[in-house]
Amino acid sequence: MPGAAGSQSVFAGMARRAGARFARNWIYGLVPVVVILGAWEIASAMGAFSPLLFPAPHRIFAALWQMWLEGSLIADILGTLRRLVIGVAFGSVVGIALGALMGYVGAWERMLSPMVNFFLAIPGTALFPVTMMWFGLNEMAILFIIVFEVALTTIVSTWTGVKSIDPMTINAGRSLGAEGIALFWRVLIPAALPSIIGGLRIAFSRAWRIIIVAEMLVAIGHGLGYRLFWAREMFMSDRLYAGLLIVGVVGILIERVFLRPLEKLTVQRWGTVRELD
Amino acid sequence: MARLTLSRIDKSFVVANLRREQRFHIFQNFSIDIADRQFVSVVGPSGCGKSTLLNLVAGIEACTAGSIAVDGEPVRGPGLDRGIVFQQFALFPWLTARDNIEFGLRSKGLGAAERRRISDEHLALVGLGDFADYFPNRLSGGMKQRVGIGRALAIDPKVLLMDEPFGALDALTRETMQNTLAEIWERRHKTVLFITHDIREAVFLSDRVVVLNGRPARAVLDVAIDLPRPRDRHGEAFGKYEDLLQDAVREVH
Repeated sequence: MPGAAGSQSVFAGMARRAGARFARNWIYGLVPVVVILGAWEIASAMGAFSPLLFPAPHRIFAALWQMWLEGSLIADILGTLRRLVIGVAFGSVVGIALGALMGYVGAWERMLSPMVNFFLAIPGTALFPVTMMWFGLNEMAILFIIVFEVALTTIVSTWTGVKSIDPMTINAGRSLGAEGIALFWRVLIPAALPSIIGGLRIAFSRAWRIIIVAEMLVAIGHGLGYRLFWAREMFMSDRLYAGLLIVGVVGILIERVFLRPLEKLTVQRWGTVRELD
Repeated sequence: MARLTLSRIDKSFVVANLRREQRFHIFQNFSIDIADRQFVSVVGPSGCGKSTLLNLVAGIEACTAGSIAVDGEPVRGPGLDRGIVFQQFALFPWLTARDNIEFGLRSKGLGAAERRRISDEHLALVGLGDFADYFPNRLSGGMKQRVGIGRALAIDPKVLLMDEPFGALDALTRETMQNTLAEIWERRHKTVLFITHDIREAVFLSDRVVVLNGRPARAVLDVAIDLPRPRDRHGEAFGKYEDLLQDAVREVH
């Protein structure tokens, strides 16, 4: 039997192993990145690429630093994130509400499922001509499409999630006095949360792609997509690559800063999803 | 007073296949009356309709005809006058043991302090005082069902409905839970409708045991268990009740 000191060292060991696992994941993840960047840098130095088409990595990072100093980098990131947050907020509220209704009330499912399937077949970006006609080349033209895409994605995941709730869980809620809107908030949404978070994850990534494209097409003032478009126009290829780098990194950060913690605080803590070693 | 009355209920459903539609009667003109503070077990072979009976009383399913009433008040759906304990526990995994127990109290609109007082009392009643803040996935099967019992009793229902509550537990835990339930019932003298396929369990816990059998289901035996409490599972009289009920369950009707 381990004593108090023994169990302490067990916890210390667990913490050490978790730390080692974390470090190992990062090191493994970084290996291919370093290899590719290194090969690219060496090839550039030997004059294998046209510096205009493939600027050396150190020039890309220099451009990034320049954009940071100019302040355009932060403005672009915040501009794009603002559109993302507004679009996902409105879209997911609409999508979760409709999806839950479709998953619980047969009449809503019969009414809406043909329409949902119809709109799922239409790529959000294909609606740009329409929204640009409605709203002009402005913020609303972008936001409308994001709300549309996010709502569709979360409708499907919430609908499926609510339909797969164990009927006994719903019976338990109803027998304990939760009906109507209370049943929705207190039982259906938390019980379907694993699927809803899965849907949000897809919604974020689809919204992110669409925003970048939308900012290129609508080309207003600021935003990462606009910056990419502008860098190409100016033929500043180092800034173009720097912009792509930031688009990818911010995409990872959304997952790490928002979705993972949301998952850890809810479904993982409750044990309604399995935690993998 | 909390009397449960089922009068002349019908429950049937239609099964259609290629050739014809067929109507199955689970219950036809079935009546039963459960007195205030009586602990009644319903036993029978699987598929005899005992779980359907509980769902009807719970208001989860509706009768095709006839009426069910608690204290003369007709059942028209689920309600806080009936507390249910489910075979698979049906706890809310996103709520701690305490919050599971407080779920129905919130529905009643009780304030935080009052809810806390009642949940403390019921956590203690089911022996989970130290586990208030545990999520269900951290609790053993027996502990989960303790939360289930606490949750059903916390709303202070007129009738407690238990659907094979210990059916999902191992034999040792089941016996412990039977003892615990008998003790709880001594302190909270509720009217209980208890569904089980375990005859020993029924004899150990009940004032009265009803054997359902046949299709449509009939009460083929309805017997009062006249044994002093707390009961001894190994006594001679206990064994006689077991044999009597065993025969009624096995008979083909």
